Amino acid sequence: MNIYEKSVKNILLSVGISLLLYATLIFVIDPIQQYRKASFYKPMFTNQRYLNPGLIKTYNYDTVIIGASETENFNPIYIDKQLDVKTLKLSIEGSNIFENELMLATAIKTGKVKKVIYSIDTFAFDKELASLKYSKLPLYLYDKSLLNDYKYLLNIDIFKKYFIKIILGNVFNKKKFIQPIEKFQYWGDKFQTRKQKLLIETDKLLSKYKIPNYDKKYYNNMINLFDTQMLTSIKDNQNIDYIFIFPPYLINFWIPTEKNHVQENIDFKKYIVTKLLKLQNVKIYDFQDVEDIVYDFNNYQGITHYKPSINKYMIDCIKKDKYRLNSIKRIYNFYKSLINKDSIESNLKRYN
Amino acid sequence: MLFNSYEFIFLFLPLVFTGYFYLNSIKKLTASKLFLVIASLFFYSWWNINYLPLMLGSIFINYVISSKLSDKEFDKLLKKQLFIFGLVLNISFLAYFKYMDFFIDNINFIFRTDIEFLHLALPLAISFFTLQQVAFLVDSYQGIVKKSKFLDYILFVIFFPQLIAGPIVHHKSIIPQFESKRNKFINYKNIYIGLFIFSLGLFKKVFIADTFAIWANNGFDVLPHLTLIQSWMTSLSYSLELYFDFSGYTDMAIGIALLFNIKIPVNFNSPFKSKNIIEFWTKWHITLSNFINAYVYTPILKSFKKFTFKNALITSFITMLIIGLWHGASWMFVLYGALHGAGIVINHLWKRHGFKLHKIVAIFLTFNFVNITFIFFRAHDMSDAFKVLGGMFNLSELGNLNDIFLLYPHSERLDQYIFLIMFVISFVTIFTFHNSMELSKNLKPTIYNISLIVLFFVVSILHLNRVSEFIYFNF
Repeated sequence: MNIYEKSVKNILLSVGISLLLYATLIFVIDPIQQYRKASFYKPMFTNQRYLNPGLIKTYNYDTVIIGASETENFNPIYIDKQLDVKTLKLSIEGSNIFENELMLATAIKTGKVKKVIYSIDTFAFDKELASLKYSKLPLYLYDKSLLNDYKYLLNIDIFKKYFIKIILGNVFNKKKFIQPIEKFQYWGDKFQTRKQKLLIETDKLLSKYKIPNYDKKYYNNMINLFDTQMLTSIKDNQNIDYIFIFPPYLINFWIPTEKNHVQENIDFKKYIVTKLLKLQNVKIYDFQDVEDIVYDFNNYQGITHYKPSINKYMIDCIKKDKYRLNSIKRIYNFYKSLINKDSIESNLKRYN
Repeated sequence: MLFNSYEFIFLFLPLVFTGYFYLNSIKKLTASKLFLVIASLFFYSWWNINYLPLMLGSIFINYVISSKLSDKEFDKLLKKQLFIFGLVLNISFLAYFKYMDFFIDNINFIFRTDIEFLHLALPLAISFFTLQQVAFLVDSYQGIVKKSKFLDYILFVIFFPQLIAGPIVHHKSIIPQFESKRNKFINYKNIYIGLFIFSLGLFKKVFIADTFAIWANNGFDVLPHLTLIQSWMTSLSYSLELYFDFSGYTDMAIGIALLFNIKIPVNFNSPFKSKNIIEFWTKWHITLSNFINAYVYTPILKSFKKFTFKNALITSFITMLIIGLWHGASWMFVLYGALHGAGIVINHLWKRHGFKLHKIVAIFLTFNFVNITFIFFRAHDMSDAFKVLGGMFNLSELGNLNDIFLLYPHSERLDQYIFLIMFVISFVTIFTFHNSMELSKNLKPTIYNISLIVLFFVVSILHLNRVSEFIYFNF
């Protein structure tokens, strides 16, 4: 064997051994709990798109929460107590409909899910957001195949963003890295009302108040996504109870201007509700017309981001069956109040 | 298939290497070439198999025409007509797929018409395989090509290391290498050096260029306004990204080819150490410069009745416009070419008048000129370009260290400091270190070198697939 042959063999062998050692380390510690629930250390909960599929596989639950960032302040312990369930929160910040549905389908496949609490954002069906499809998700974590797990086991960022912090949290007692699971992406502690800023935005929106031309294509695209991505899966899982929530957005969300699609969103909501009300395994709770909430700017940090006590309130309402939506009449009435600029202004005065 | 992917590194490359040398070892020499051709077609089709018939069609037609052209018994007049037909065919092929929408856009603008775009998908590598075949066509017409077998011809065009983004190889240097009997055996020295160049290229691409890309993309595409310090970091990050990305890709191509005992030409030779813009183009994307020089510059210059300094300058400028447009169908690329054309013209005039600068000043000026022209190369439109360029000279808004970190949002402080260190090291490296080709010439199998190769591989492989952070809280 000449020196070059020996060198080549040494290179290949060293690279192979180094990668194998690294992968073994990640497999044993399993920082995002893909293979087993963390037992000999306190895990780190961050970045839902990476962590949720592991929690789905390795945690015990019978209820899941699906939705975007406005569901992040739901406290699973509170829900467990109020609704007598075992909850796993599977929120994804900035999610689109494809991501929400894949997350839910992955959970349903485990056979653990009996109840789904699903916060519907009509804008998750928006053409632009939905066009991202699964592009932000590490799809190799969402299947059962072990063949593609090298993408997890040979990934430097898992080491930098999780492994090191788990060490810092467990060995060096840096508490901020090892929060309990109920604090996973919980931002309620940091909630700050931005009333003044939001009121200025309201004035701007009202000055541009206009009911624009109807965008039929936009609407059709949304209903098509609903039918193909969401409705069939609800129909296919008759044994699962679905609780749908229309979360309370600040009134600004609904002020029509040239640039938004308020009419189409309302019509889409009517379409969803009409379809869902026909199903036995579905209950819908609508908080979008609760004037005490949506006109009170103290409740909001951003248009779709409300304070954590509202999350609690919604769970209480579900328990008491309050604000249950039984017909689309309520949506009509709400819309009527919007197409009248004066009624918006008078409500604003009343609540602020 | 990308060189910087798991499937290439762990499956495709080892399988093709083993298959090729196994067939050679049992003396199935034609089968081994055929195997490489099939592997290359597979490599190409991995992205999108729809482009395959187009590429094969182009190869087949070019081969038939070139064979006729190199036939000495063929009628001279017919030969000339066939040659022109071949040239027009290749240029039309490129024009149709690459420039049609750009052309329609301009027609619509000038004549205020509303012709619909064709929205053709650009067949991968079209600019590269078309150029290589045009060179072959021209040389066949001029009688300097021996008639080749179809298998040799197709292998020269589609040999996978150089297929997608060069280096643009010349048939004279490649076809004989596949013929050579010596190259049919495993050569561990070549493998050792090949692994070194490949690992260094991979490291340049996935560790260095992809990190600079984050800063450059945020500066160019995301932040609406840049301070002076941000503008400089954006433009410099892009220059570094472009250099490490492209030279990294080229290194990988050269390294992989060397595993098969094929030497493909050098494409970069420390371009940022150039003392003037003429020298820059002899060191940056060298194979493109060589091609353009032989098949565009020289024919244009010859078409002038007289060879004068003025005519040479005009030719240089036109050639640079063509280089600009070759990079992509946009006026921004034409402008990039025009700036370099102007740079070359000024450089020639400067030389003629005997001006001289101190070496360091010359390198400094050349680098800054190139860095500014890269802004037009990268920006989608003039407003993006002037956002960065204007910021670079906006003395009223200097900015501070925190502004730099805004270019790397949602990252941790540690990552940001690592980036700054990487930025400084990269600069020192490109101006003072030997480049990968110089290093590979005298590469001894020492423990130090072996450790370095292992380190490059391991770090790069762990960076092939990174966790992307998506922060949504835009309250």
